[in-house]
Amino acid sequence: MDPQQLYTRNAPALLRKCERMLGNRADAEDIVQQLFVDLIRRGRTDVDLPYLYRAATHRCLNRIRDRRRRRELLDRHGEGLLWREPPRIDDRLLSMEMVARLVDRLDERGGEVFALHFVDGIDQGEVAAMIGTSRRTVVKHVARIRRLARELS
Amino acid sequence: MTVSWLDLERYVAGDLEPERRRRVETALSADPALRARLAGIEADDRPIPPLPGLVGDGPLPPDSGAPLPEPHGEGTVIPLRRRPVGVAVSVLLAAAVALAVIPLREPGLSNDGRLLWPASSTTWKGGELSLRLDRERQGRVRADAARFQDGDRFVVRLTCPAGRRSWDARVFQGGRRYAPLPVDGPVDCGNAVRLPGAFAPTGADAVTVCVAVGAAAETGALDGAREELADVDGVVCARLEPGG
Repeated sequence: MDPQQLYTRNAPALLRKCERMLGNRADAEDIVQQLFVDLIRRGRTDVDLPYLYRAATHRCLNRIRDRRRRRELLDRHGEGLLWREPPRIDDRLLSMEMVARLVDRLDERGGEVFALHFVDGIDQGEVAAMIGTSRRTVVKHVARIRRLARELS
Repeated sequence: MTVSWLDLERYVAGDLEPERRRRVETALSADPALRARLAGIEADDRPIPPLPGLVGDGPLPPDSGAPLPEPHGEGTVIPLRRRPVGVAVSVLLAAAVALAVIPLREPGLSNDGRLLWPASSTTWKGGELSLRLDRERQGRVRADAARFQDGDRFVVRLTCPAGRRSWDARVFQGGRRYAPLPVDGPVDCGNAVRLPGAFAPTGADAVTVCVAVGAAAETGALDGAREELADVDGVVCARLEPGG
C-alpha cells in the first residue's frame, strides 16, 4: 500500500487506541508518527490494522515503562484522574498511575495481553491468535493481571 | 460475542469480513454502550498530524531502531516475496529475466527540457550500473515495465559491478518521497540482482524510482533529493508512467 494511504487510513484508529492507553493525545501522536516512520523506512507498508494495533501496543507500553518520561506522562494526564475511556479490569476503573504500576509488574507478553484484552477489549482467543501464543497462556496472563490489580489497588 | 475497539475500527473502515460484520451489527443493535463507542469513532474528526517526508515538508525522520512485532495470525505483513506465485508465473519470470534486454533510457526531462533524473543505466566504477523494474499484475510478470496501474506490484533489479555494496532506494511521486524497500544490509552486486521487498504505486502521477549505491548510499544522496539528482555518481533512476 502507498505509505501515504497507509498512514491516512490507519493513523486515526491508532491515535484513538494510544490515547486510550496513555490518556493524552500528544504522546499518542508521537508514538503513531514514529511507528509509521519506522514502517516506511523498513519498507513494511503491506500491513493491516490488527498488526498495527500490536505494533502500537508495544510502543505505548514502552512509553509507560519509560521511567524518565513517566512523570511527564502522568502530569499530562493528571495523575490519579480517570480519562474518557479508562481501561478497566472487571468493574475496577484504572487510573494512569495504576496502569503504570501494573505494567511495571508485567513482562512484555503480560503487558501485551493487558493492553489488548483489558484496554482494547479483544477476547482472549483472539489475543492468543494475534500474538502467536496459546489461549491457555493468555488465560494465565489474564488471571495474573487480575491478581496484580487487586494487590495494587 | 465480545466486540472490541479493534472490531469497531475495522467495522467503520469497512474492513470486516461479512460474517463478523453481521455479528458486530447484531451486538450493536443490542448494546447502547457499544453504539456510543461507535458514534464516538465516527464523530472523531480531529486532524491527524502530517507525516514529514510524505507530504513534501522535509525529509522522513530517521528510523527509531525500535523493533516491530513479527507477524502472527491476524496481524500480517505481506511482502511480495512471500506471496504465492504459481509455478507458471515463476517460469515466466525466469524466462523474462533470461531474455530481458535492458534498454538505455533517456534521463527524465521536465516540461522545459531540463534534466531531472539520472538515466536508468550508467557507467560506475568501471562497470555497468543500471536499474530495472519488474511488474507483477494479476499473477503475470513483466520484466522492465514502464507503466503502472493501481494493484501492480514492482520489484527492483539492480545491476552493479561485483562486490558487496551499500545501497538505498527512494520512490518519488507528486512531490512526495518515500523509502519503499527494506534496506537490511549491503547487496551482493551482479547482474539484475533483486533488491529485497517490493512496492505498489498508486495514483495518477508518474513515479520515479532511484537507487543509490556505494558512497552515494552511505552519504544519503537520496535523502535531500527533490529534482536535482542528475549526474550524481552512483545513482540510477527508472520512471513509471501511470496507466496501461
